[in-house]
Amino acid sequence: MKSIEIRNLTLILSGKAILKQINIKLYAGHVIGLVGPNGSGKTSLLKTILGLYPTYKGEIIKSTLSYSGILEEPGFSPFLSGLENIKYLCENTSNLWEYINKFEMVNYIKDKVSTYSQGMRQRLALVTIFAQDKDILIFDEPLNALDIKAKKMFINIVNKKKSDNKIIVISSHIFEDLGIEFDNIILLHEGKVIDRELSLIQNRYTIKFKDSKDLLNFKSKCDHELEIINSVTAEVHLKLPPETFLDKYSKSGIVGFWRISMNQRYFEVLAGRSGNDEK
Amino acid sequence: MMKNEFIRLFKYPIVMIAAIFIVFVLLFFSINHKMNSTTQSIYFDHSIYYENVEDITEKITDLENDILELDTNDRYYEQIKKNLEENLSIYKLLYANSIEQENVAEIGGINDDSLNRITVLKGLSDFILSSVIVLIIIVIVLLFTRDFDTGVYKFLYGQNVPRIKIVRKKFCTLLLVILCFYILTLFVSLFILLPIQNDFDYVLIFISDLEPVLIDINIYLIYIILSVTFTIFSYMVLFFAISLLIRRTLSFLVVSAATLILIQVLLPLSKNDILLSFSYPFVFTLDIGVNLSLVMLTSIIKAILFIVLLAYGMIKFNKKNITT
Repeated sequence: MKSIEIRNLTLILSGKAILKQINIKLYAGHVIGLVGPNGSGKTSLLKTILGLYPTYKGEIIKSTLSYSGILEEPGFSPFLSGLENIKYLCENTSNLWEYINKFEMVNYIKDKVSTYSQGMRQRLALVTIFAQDKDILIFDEPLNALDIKAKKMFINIVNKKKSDNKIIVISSHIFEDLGIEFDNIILLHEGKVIDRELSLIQNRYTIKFKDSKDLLNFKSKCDHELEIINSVTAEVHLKLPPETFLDKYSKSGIVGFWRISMNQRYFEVLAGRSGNDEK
Repeated sequence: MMKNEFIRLFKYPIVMIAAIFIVFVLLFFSINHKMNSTTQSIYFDHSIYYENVEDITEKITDLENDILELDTNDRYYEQIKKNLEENLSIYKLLYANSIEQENVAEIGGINDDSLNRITVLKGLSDFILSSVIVLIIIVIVLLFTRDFDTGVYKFLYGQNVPRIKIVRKKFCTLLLVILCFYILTLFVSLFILLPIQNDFDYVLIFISDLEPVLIDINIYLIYIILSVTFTIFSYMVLFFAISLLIRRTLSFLVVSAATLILIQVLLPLSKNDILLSFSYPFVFTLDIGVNLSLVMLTSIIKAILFIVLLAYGMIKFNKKNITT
């Protein structure tokens, strides 16, 4: 199975440790969310994976996988048109015009980039990445300056790329609005990965159930103490990863589906016995 | 990808404007030069006078006697002896080749305002060299350093294409663009040179202090072109290496200007032969009395030094964090 493995990654810039002993493995067909407050090292981690920071210590095993990504405020040559920029930056493209169409760039793609708005530049950046069809796609704040239509298109394409077995890494501040099912969420804090430790730090997960029946059913069978917040929401204190906790109830049929999303404050678990949102 | 670099480069209007401007100035310069030129009769920097080849044997004998009769206690003995020996070596060479005085000119003895192919080509070369240096800097900015100002570097170097490969293509593009432009200016120069007649056939230069050689004027003209080509290549390597080490446009421009001032202005002030031959194209250094062996040695050292600097720049750039 295609994967990127990062082992003991440490990055020091100007004498300061930006990334500390990071160990993660990212698999093909997975969408990985990267979250953390400003200065937590998200962009540095992405830049390191993209090869812009080669002075790191540790290992990044990408084997022969091809990769490409957009970082905050993507830049283009202003005297070239959008299309010329794409041709300059990409050695090979596939379905280029399909993506130009999808992001509604057809009427502007031959205009000089210097005439583009920030949103158009962002759309051009997304077209550039998607059209390259690389194995690993990295997005740093991809929804910046995008309108709702373009956001939806981005989400659709990400879901499609996921089914095409790509490794997709997304760093964003607005995960709750993304509507993407993440297979893994990595939380960075002061240069360290703390996704699995978050529960230990906060010990609190909010579980939103599909309806009150599901909540009551779950409460009666759960061996953890649930604190009822309202008819469909409860809080639970966990010392184990939420996936492990929910898997146990999923296997015994107590919850039929569950999905973890994340906002800036805490993990949010949506669960229930039936519905469309199956894991 | 090199094709893409070309396309992108020529989308910047400044490249074409600069190239056309330089060619126009070149033509204007040639017309102006022709109008202000004079003819001259003194072709030797040393005191060499003879009516015909037969007179030379007499001159040789006289000089040999003069050297023998020199007062060894004279405080200028060494200097006078050296001058006489140099003259003697020139006479011997001229005699051995049976060359009449009007057919040979000594480099250093040719007045810059005279109208012959050497002076015109040297004047043109001076201008071509300065223009090409400016063009090299402009092209490096557009090809390489500007990517770091516009943010293009994030895409360009954030893919699984080795940096060295990208940079090598940029350097090859620079090389080709400058070469094409240089060939164009040489064609214009050829067009200017063809109608000009030479009034001598040979050029005399010193390989070492007492070793003069005669060079056919056409071969000497080729030397001038080779010398300028070598200098252009050296600057191209030097400035590209600087850009790899510095990256940011403004800093690159400042350091390039400082390097130019150091090489073209400050080093020649020293009047040291090695530093002089480091500063100017090698043929030009011969004009100011530096001998050929030293000039060639310095040129080889210069080439090695700049190529090593380029290799160092590439290695350094390959391992460097690219930060905003």
